[in-house]
Amino acid sequence: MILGPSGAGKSSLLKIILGLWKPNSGSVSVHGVEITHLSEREKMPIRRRMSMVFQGNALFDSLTVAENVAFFLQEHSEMAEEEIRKRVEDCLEFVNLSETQDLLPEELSGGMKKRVAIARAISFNPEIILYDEPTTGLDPLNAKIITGLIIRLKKERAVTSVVVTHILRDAFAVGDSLALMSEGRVVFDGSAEGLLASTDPFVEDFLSEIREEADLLTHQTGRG
Amino acid sequence: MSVAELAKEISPIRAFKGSIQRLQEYSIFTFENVRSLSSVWRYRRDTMEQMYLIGAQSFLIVFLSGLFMGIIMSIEGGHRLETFGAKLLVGRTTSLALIRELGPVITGLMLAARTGAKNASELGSMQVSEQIDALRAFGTNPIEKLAVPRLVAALIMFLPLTLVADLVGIVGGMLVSDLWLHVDPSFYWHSAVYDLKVKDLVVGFAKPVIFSFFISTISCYYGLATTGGTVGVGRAAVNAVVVASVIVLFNDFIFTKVIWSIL
Repeated sequence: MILGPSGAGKSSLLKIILGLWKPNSGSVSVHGVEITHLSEREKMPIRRRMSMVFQGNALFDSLTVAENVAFFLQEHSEMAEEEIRKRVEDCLEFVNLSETQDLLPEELSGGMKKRVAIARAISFNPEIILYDEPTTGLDPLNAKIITGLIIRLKKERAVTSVVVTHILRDAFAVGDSLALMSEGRVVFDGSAEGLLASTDPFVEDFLSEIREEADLLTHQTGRG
Repeated sequence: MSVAELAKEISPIRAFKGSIQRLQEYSIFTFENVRSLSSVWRYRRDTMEQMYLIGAQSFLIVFLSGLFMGIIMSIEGGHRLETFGAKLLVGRTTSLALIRELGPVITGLMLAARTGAKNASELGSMQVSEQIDALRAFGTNPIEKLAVPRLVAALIMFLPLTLVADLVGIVGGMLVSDLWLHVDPSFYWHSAVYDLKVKDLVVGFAKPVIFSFFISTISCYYGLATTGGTVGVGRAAVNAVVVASVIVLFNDFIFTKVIWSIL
């Protein structure tokens, strides 16, 4: 989990990990491969093992839900149409949206769009999924559904999730390890317990805004 | 914004630097387009769709522009020629003006407005809604998927659209000449068509190919370079149309000058 206030550089970090942006300095290694200086073509094998759920979903608005989910497979796989159709059905069933195949993204609610974005992200069975603020802007019920899907993907499909959020509740629900960012730097890296016990002034300042929520979570989870 | 910030914003040096940077980016983008032309077969469905959109949606505007241009040329030219007792040459002047200059330029300007605005706003919207990032994240090159089909579609469709504008303009001029100047249609047609030289046709039909290349690459460049949300999309569309229109006219001047020097 990557936590931090708005403007801390969390989303930028995800785009750098995926190779969409080049960092000014430093390096990124994915599965031991240094990707920072690779060309777009050279990044392809790495990207086929990673996927991303964008903050605004970034669904292709001229394509139907099924076409969105099938996009990667039609572009880059040798799968037959029938196999792709079956895979799309499976992915949409996983996010409980089987009936939306022929709809356009504009016809979906915010929560449904997010679930389609997750279905699209898992269509080619990536090993790593990057989530950019997956629950921001959603009502509590839909936010719970999305965090539930992230946890299911982790447990059932052994997917490594890198989740950017500023919502502590999500971080505690999903994360095995937490990093807190400020102004482009990681100021804390460790467990939830470590975060709550940290005496770092920035961490304390960040948590003080949500101390009440943090205390409640600590009480609920028995942590700290 | 303070006065000092505003002065910095509109500083000529800053504007010049920005222009040079955009020119550099556009040159790289255009090179990438040309280098990726082979991807057109892979994205043939997208190319066909763009050809349909350019052809079907621009037909009426090109038809009307060509028609009125031919009518105006015949009325203006006919009255001037009548003064010298040479109104029978109205067919020749109209067809020459249309085929060599007005047909390609008017079609180019109409398509710079229509296709240019469409490309820039579509790609700009995709850029600000992270759809371009999503394409790249899923291993698809946006230039191959989005820009090259638009470029090839424009290269193919601009030529027949210019031909439509030319033909409709000549026919419109013929009707007006018959109605108001009392020039026999068969005589008009003969002087309009049979007096044309190969050079005229080469000039008239080479221009749309060049114009389409610039209109498409400029509009796609502005679209893919969009920043700043919905305001940025509007700015990209306006810039694409303005720059593409100026480039059409500039290319027309260069092409005419070069051709007259060579042929």
